[in-house]
Formats: sequence, C-alpha cells, structure tokens
Amino acid sequence: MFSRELLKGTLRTIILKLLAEKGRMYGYEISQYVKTQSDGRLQLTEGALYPSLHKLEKEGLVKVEREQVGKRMRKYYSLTVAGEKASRSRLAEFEEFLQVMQLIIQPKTQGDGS
Amino acid sequence: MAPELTDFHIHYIKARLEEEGLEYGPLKEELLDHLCCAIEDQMKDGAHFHIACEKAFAAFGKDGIQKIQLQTIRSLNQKSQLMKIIAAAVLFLLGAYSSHHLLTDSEPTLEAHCEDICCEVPTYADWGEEPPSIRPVKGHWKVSSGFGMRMHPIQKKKIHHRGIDLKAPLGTPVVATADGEVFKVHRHKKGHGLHIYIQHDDTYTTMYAHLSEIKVEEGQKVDKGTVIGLVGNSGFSTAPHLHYEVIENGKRVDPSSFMTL
Repeated sequence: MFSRELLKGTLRTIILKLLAEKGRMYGYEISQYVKTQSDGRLQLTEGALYPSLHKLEKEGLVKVEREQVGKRMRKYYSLTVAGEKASRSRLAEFEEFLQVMQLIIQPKTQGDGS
Repeated sequence: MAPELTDFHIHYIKARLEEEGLEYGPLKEELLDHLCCAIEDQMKDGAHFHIACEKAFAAFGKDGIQKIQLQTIRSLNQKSQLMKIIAAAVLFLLGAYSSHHLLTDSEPTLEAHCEDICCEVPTYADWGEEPPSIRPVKGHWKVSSGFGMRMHPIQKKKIHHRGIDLKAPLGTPVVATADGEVFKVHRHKKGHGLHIYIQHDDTYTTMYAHLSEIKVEEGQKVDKGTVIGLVGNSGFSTAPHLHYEVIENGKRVDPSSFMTL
C-alpha cells in the first residue's frame, strides 16, 4: 500500500477519470475495477470511496441513477456537465504534475556529455 | 452464470447492516448492493453464503460500516441534528454493547472470528481521510465537563470550554485518537500542565492535557490507539482527568461528536 501522503487527493481524480471513461459505474464496480487495473496494488477502500462519491454528488459533479438489479437497488454514478469539466481539468493537472515529478526524480542529463 | 441472492439472503444482509449501526438512508441501499456483489463474487468461486457473508463484512474492518457512515456524513459537512442524533445513538449502542460485553467477557465472539478471516483489513487512513474517531481514555471514564460555555472550577466564572473533560482514575492510559505525529509536548507547571498536541493531517490536530506522565516524544509517529501518556492532575486541575481537544482547520470543535468508536 502507498503512503497516505501520496494517495491523498488522488481519489477524486481516479473517480472522475473512471466515470468519464466508462460513462456510469456503481460503487462496487469502481472498487473492483481499480483493483484489477492496478494488479491489486491499489485498493480503494469502501471507507474512502463512498464518502467521496457522496461528496461529489453533493458538489454537483456526479449524478445518481437508481436501478433495480435482481432483488435490490443499485446506484449508478455518472458525470454531470460540471463533472466532465472537472474531470478534464483535474486529469490535465495530474498529468502535468506527473511530468514535473518525473523531471525531478529522473532529471535529463544536461548538455551532451561534457 | 452468476448466482443470485434470494430474498432471504438479502434480508439477512440488511439486518446485519442495521446491527452494525447503519442508519444513514442514502448509504443503506448502496452498501447493501456492495455487500451483495462481494458475496455473489465469492459464491461464484464456490463459497457458501454464510462464509462469503462473513468475509464481505470482515473486509470492512472493525466498526467499518459505522466509520463509512460517519465519514460520509462528515464529508457532506452536515454537522446538523442528524449527525448529532446518529453520534448519540452510536455512543449509546456502543455503551450498551460494551457493558453487556463486560458481563460476558469470556466468550470469544464474532470479533475474534472476524480477525481470523480478515488478515488484510484496508485502513481508511491509507487514503488520508480519517478524522479522530476513538475515545482518548481507555477503561472507565465519564464526561465531567462538556464543550462550550461552563463555570470554570478554579476561576469561578463562566468561560468557553475549548475541549471536553473526561474524569478517569490517575494513571489511566491516554491514547491517540487517530494516526498522526506528535507535534508538540509541553511540560508546564500551570495551565494545561503536561500536555501533548498530535497532528493527524492537514485538517485535524488533537490535544491531551493535565497528564501525569508523557510517553511520547516530539516528532514521533503514533498510530490510532497508541498510549501517549497517563491521566493526571498536572497544571490547573482539581482532580485527575483528561482535558481533550479536537482542532479542525485551526478551530476548536466539540470532541464528543468525534468520540464515536
């Protein structure tokens, strides 16, 4: 597991990105998807996921649709228009951040072999 | 083909969720669906319903359902009546549960059982989102003075109480209420006497005062539940007690709403 300093702030980016990519997803699906995509190296805990989803909903970035699945209800989340915008800008910011980190962690050698 | 849970199964899971203290409506159907999915996945691999069910609940960790509920409500910033009612109900239920537990102490119950199943309980702190949640004093204690306006026992005038006083016997262990780092250790003769500040994250800091002994050093990392000192009577204090403060974004808030677990 990664340290909390690293993970903090990435959760919303992950959720927004996944919803942008997949259209709509439900809680369990998100947690399983993250787990498989990361080869089990990233475990999105329920205790972090659901509070974030509810917060995103309150902020108007995601919307909820309820659907009967078998004998129970399922809550699907999808992005609102504001959510799509937030998803794009957050992802762009994150990618830029990764590039900058890369520059710092693995600086390109300056000049040509002096 | 995916096995589908029966009405009976779903009712059973629902009842378990309620037993675990889930009361917040918007989360109810969602966590029910989550658990059903997890159980179905396990049954697909051949597990029996009851084993799959235990595993699915165990994956949430101890008091996990209540933690999700609290964090959801907290993240929505509804420090309203609802929150207070739920916190009070949870406190009451836990009180009833633990007093019952004391009487039947020798039974190795569900708790031990769960520990067996879930060796890898995910921690909420991993995502840096956990506010202080447990009671800072182990063993017997009672609130001798709450948060807010009160008559000061020494100054004999009404002033705002920035924390909560927990009356407990001298030497009772005091524990960190969330993971964090010991930010400051003070050994004053007056005021708060021996006291400790612990920084948990960008949002939360907690403070523990009037200790008789300090068991940590500045800069030390502590886990939730680590004993950091002992209850005492140091500084301006008339009897052994712990003065406990929760500081949220630099502002003192009522610690009782955080002492839920």
